[in-house]
Amino acid sequence: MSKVALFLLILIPQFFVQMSRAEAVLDPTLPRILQGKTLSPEETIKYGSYLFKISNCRDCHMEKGGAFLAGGYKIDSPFGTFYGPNITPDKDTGIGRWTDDDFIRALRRGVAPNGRNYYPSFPYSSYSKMSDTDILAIKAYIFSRPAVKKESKKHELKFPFNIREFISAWKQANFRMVGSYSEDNFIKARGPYQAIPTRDWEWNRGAYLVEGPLHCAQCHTPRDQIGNFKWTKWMSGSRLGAGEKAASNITPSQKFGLGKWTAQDWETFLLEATSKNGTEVTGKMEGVIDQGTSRLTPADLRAVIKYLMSLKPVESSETKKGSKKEDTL
Amino acid sequence: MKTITLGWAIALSFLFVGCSQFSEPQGLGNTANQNTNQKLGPVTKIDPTFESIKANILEKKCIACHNPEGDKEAKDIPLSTETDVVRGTSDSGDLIVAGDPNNSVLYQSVASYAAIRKKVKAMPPSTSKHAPLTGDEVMAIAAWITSLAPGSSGGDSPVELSSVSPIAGGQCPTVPVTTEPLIQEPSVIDYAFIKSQILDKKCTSCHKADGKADELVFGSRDEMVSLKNEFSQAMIVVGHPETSLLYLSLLKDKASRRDTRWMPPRKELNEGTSKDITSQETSLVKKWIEQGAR
Repeated sequence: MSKVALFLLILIPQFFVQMSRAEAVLDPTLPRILQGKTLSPEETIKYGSYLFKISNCRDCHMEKGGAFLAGGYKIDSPFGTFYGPNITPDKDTGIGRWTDDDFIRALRRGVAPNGRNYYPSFPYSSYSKMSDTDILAIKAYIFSRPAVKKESKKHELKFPFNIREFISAWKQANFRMVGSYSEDNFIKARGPYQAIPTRDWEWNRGAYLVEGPLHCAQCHTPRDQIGNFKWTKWMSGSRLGAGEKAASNITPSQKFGLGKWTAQDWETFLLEATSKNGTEVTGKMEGVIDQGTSRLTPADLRAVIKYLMSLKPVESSETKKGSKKEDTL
Repeated sequence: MKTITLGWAIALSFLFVGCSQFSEPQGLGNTANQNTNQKLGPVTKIDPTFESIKANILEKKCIACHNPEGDKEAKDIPLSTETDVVRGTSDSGDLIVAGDPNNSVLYQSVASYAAIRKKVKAMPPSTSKHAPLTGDEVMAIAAWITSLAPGSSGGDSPVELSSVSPIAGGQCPTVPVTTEPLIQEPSVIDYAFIKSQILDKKCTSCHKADGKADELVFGSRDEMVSLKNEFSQAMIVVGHPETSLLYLSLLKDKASRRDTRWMPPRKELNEGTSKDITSQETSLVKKWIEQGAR
């Protein structure tokens, strides 16, 4: 019997080591099916179209009835009105002259090719977590689309938000991780997502998608009066959500959030835009589902749901205080 | 010696467990295909009668819990006899409203679309060991409830399930009781037939240039055969529907579909902007690919 114990003592730890190694070699920034593959330029454009759509880029860079990605979409906020710019490959009015480095710098650091900071209405604090591969696949897709000559509208912002230097202060507060990269604070980090070793691959894939390309926190996390994220209330709902309705608390809080939702409820919601109580989703979220989450592959959808259901429950909801009607979840 | 053998057996069992953790089908490998073929098998024809529905659906997926000795709330809604079902009620309403599947909790609970389920709890529950009902099983229940309408000839005629019309937008489903297929099948199924009878009617409103699914434009036959999705997977593998995304995406059974997105998207069906694929149409796509996708 002691020999059995000896075998087990030797082999069981090896089993777990093998298991963690197998997980470690999988990159959470790529779907399993693309792990280790090199894509041709055509395949990169196709893959980029997937990322572009789940990231819902179109919604902010295209006005209703306007040309694809030619900008003009109006975003009203307490800071003023933002207009999505032209991101077609037009060399004069779009981003046609941008290099790969320019594109990566814009999404990763929120800095334009001319060195100016972008306003955080462009959700680069989420996109920053995307890998170079994914960012450049999106660029390849955008550059495969027609160029449209159309000047971007200037933002109409209130003082002091109309001073670009203000953005530097915002970045200092919201775009700079303090401490080590871990499950508890990776949401604050700037730069490509790093796998959290204490979690399995699927959770990591979900974390990457939700906190990166899907940029859910941008609407679902409350902010203070100058737009700083309330880090301890991550995803607990916000009155500043884009559109006419407030964004709901999507943490698993039983009272304030979606703690009663099963994985099936989440799946129905993210694919069919129908909430657990049977109501159809309206407002901005309807577009997010239509253009974005309903296009997730089943594997990515499972990962997204796994991560969302693992969020820390936040027992409050700022949406109750606001005048905006809460999104219909 | 026996001790050593036992030790190896335990150790090997751990290793096999370890392998299985990472053997999830990634692409469209042969092993997975064999499984799919087994699952796809011949379709069982379910008559729109209680006896047939009980034998083919209720006894396989419902009655284990829905009997007087069953679990929790389920035991209060027994489904063992026709009287139990036809006169049964739940917190959400009557199990059967004769002639009106959309207001019958039995049908609502197993419907794929949330717009039809409304507030009725989805069955079997996600925690159940039983698989969700297939599209044909759901439609058989709808056909039986429809046949109960006053003045109906009853459920004597077998339903050709492949001919059942799709349900969309939460409207009352049309369930023609007929043995005639909706599409007359030609002796040779070619791309012109598939395109005109299926793709143009149910796919190309999105799968076109500037459509919502412009990454997968359904063009000519040659373009279709060389078409790949965002992850470089082939839409058509000539001769092999079981590895062709076009066919897999139409399967209503989640396990058979594997990690392929379900088409048409459920959201489009709920909104009534798209029509569901019938079993016959799925079968025609399968035959077309099997016969060389000409």
